[in-house]
Amino acid sequence: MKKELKKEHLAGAGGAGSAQAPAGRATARATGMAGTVERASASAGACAGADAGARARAPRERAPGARTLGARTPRSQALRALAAIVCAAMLAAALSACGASGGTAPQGGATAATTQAAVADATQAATESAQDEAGAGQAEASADAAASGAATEPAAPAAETAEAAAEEPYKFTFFNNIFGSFSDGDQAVFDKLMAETNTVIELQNMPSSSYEESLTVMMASGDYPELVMFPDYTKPVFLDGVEYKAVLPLNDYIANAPNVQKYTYPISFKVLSVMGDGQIYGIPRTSIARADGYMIRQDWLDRLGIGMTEGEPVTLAAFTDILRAFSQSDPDGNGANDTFGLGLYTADGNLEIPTALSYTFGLNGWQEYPGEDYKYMDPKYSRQNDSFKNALEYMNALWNDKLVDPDWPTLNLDAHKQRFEQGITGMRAEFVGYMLEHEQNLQNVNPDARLSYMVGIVQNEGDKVAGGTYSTGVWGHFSVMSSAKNPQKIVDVLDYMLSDNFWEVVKFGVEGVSWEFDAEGTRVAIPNTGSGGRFMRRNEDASFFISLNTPGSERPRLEKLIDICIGQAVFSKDEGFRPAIASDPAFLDADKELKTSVSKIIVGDLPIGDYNAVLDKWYDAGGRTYVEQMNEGIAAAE
Amino acid sequence: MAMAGKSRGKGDAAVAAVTYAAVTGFVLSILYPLFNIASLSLSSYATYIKNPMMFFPTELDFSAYGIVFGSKLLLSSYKNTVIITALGTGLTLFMTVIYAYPLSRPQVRFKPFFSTAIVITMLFSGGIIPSFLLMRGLGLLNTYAAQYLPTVLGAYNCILMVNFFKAMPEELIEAAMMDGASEPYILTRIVLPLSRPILATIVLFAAVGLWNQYFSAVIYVRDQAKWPVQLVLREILLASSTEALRSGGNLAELNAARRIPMEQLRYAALIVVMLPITCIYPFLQKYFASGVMLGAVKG
Repeated sequence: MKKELKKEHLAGAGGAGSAQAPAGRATARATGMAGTVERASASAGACAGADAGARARAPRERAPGARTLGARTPRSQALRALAAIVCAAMLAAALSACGASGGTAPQGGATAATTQAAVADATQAATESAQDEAGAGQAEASADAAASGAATEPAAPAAETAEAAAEEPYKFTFFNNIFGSFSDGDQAVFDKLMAETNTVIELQNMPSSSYEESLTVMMASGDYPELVMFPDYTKPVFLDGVEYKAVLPLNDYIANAPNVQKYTYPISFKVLSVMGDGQIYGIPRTSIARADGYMIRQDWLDRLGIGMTEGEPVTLAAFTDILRAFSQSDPDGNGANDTFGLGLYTADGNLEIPTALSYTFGLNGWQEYPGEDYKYMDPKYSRQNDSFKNALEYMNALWNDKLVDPDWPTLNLDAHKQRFEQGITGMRAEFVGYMLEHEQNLQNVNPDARLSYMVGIVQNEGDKVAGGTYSTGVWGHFSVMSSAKNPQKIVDVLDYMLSDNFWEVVKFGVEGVSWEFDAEGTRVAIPNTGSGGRFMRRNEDASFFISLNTPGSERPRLEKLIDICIGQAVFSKDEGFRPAIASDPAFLDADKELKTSVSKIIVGDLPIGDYNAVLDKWYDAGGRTYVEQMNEGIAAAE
Repeated sequence: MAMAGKSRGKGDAAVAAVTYAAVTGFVLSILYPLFNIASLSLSSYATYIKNPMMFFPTELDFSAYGIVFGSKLLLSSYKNTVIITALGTGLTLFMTVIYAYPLSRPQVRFKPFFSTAIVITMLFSGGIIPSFLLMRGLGLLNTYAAQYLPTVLGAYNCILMVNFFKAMPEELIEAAMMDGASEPYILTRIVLPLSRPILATIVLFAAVGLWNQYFSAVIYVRDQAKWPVQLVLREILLASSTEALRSGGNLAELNAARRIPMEQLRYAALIVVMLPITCIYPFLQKYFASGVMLGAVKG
C-alpha cells in the first residue's frame, strides 16, 4: 500500500504544474499532516527513525493521503521553481551589469532595466541587490559612453557635422581630496568653471582622511581618471606612476598655458621634473613660500609694559624676556601663576626645534657650509656645525624654566590651539593671514584680548629673518594621466583658473553664494558657504589667504605682514629631494631614534654632549648613505 | 560565634564597599566621556573654551546641531547608511540562515566541504587591490552594494548559527517531520521562531558592523553622494589631524578657521551618528537573556 502511495506521489511530482501550488498549500495547511511519506521517500532512507514513524502513521492518513500527497509535491516544485527564477534573475542582473561595462551603453542599460523588472516579482532581497547591480551597470555604461566620445552617443545622428562635436562639452574625471566636505561655495565655483570652459568635470571626491589608500588602490588598479591630485611628489605612488607612463609629461601643454607659466615658482617646475629628463610631470598647487612667526597676546604685552613693534623682528634676548614675563609675571592679572610663554604641539609625539626659532639659529635645511665632510649639509646632521646644538641647548633652557608650555609632549594641534584660546599660553605659531579670525575666537572668551604679530626672532639687533626651510612652492600637484583624451584641454582648464577672468572667483568664491557686496561696495562673506580655495593658486597673491570676514580696514595691515613673511623666505637647496634610502626600514628606525634623542635632549633626559654620539650611530645605520645621496641629488639639480 | 559572624559581616561589608566603589568608578569612567561629549555639543564655543571638562552643560546652545542637520553631505550620507544597514542586515540574516541551516542538519552531504569553504574565508582574504578589481569586474564600484555585499555571509556568523541550530532538540524537528512538514516549513515555522536569540545576535553584529564601516567606501566609492555617514564623521573628526599632516608644517595651508570644524560641531556630529545604533541595544537585550535561558533548560 505504501509503495503504491509513493509511486503515485512521484508520478504527481512529474506531472504537476505550478498553477496547482496554491491549492496544494491550502490543503496541506488544512490537514496539517501532509508530507510525511514524501519526506521519507525524498530523503531516501537517510533518517530511519522518520521512516518508521511514517510507517506507523501511514494507515491513519491513507484516505486523504492520496489527494494530499499528490498536491504537496507541486508545492515544493513551485518553491524550487521560484528559487530557480530568483537565482536566474540575480545571475542575469549580475551578467547584464558586467555586460554593460563591456558592451555598448544603450544595450547594457536596457538589459539591466529588463532584469530589474523581472526581478521585481522575486524576493525583496534579490530585488535590491539586482537593482544595485543594474544601477552600477548603468553608471558604468554612461561612463563608457562618455569615454568613447560622440561615437556611442545614440542621440547624435551620424549626419551631424563636426560643428556639433565641437560644441559638445569636454568631459573628464578628476580624482582629488581637495574638498573634505564639499560646500555650496565650492560647487558654485566648479559650476562656473565648467560653464566658462565648456567642460563637464566629473569629480571623484575622495575622503581626505584616507586619501593615500584611495590613491594607491586607484593607481594599482590601472583604472585612471584623467586628472589626479597627488599630495606629495616624492612618494612612490606618484613616482611609480611616472615611471610606468601612467602620468603624462606636460611640457608641450604647459607651453600653451601662459598663466600657469606666469604664476608658478620656477623651482616648483624644477622639482616636478622628477625623472631628470627635463619633462614636467605635474602642475603645482602653489603655496606661497614664507617664513612665519608668532601670534602674540598684545593685551598681555600692554599689561606688562613691554613694547614690541609689529612687523619688526625681535632679538633672541628680548624674545626670552617676553617668554619669562608671560610665564612668571601674571600677564592676565588673575593673581595666579597659571600662564606660559610659548604654546607648542607635537604631530608625532616627538619634540623638535620650533620652526620660527630654527631660523634664529640658522637652521635652513640643506645649504653649502665650509669645513664640512660633504659639500652640502643640514646642520641637524653635522658634527662640526654647532647651530643645531645651540638651538637644542636654548630649547632645553626654555623647558627647564617652564617658559614653554610644559604639556608640549602631549598636546596635539587642537589642544594646543585650545590652550591659546583659553589664555594659558601667550604666543603660538600661525600664518599671519589668519590672525584676526583667531582674535575673534579669543574675544568670544575674553573681550579684552588683542593679538599682534611677531614676524621673527633674530640673534642680534638689526639682523634679518631668513627661513622657510624645505619650501618649494609645491603643496600637492595635479597630474594628467595617460587616460586623458585631450590633455591640452585639461591643462587649459587649470590655466583658466589662474587667468584674470577667473582668479577673483578662485580667491573669493562666487558672488551671491560665498559673498555679496554690502552697501559700501565691499565684499562680505556669507556664512558657511565659503569656497575651500584648494585648487589652483597664483604664487604672487597671498591676499588669497585672507578671509573675507576680515574688516576692510585691517586688510592692509595683514597684507603688509604677509609681504614681510614672504620677503623672509629662503629656499632650501634640497628642493624636496628624497634620497632613495629614505624609505629603507633600517634607516627609518635610525631616523626615529635620532628624533627621540632630540626630544630627550630638549626635556633634559639626555645631556646635550651626547648628541654627537647619537649622530655617529645614525651615520652608521644608513645616515651616511642618506647624506651622500642627498649631496648627489643637490649636485644634480644645481 | 557571634563575634565571628559579626567580623565576617564587617568583612563582607568592606568587600561590598570596595566592590561598589570600583564598579561605580568603572561606570563613571565610561559615562563621563559620553556625558562630556553630549554636554559640549550643546554648548557654545566660548563656554566650551572656558570649561572643556564639563559634565553638564551650563547654558544650552543648539547651534552646533543646526549646522550638523543643515549639512547636505551629512544628511545624504545618513540616508546612505540607513539604506546600507537595512539592506545589508536583511541580506546577512537571509544568507546566514540559508547557509547555516543545511550545515546543521545531519543528513546533508558534502558538509565538510561547505564548512571548510567558509572557514577558509575567515583565515585568508584576497587583499585590497584584488577585491577592488573584483568589485570593478562585477560593476559594483560606486554602489551601495559594494558597501554591504562583501560582508553578507560571514564565517563567524555562520559558525555561531550552525552551533545554535545543532543545539536545538532534534526531537522537535523529527516531530515536525512526522507531521509532514517540509524542510522550508520546518526552518521557517519551527527552527527560526525558536532561534530569536541567535537571530538577534546576528542582526546586532551585522547592523553595528554595517553602521560603523567606512573603509569599503574609501576603496570602492568615488562619488561623494554615496558616502556612508561614518566616513563623513571620520572626515569631520580627523579634519584637524589630517590637515596638520597634509600641510607639512605650512601654516597657511592649515587653514584652521575655515576648514576645521569647531570642537562642539564635531561632538554634535558624533552624537547624531552614535545615537541611533546605541538605541538598538535595549530592544535586542531581552533576546540575549532568553538565549541564555534556552541553553540552560536543555537536557
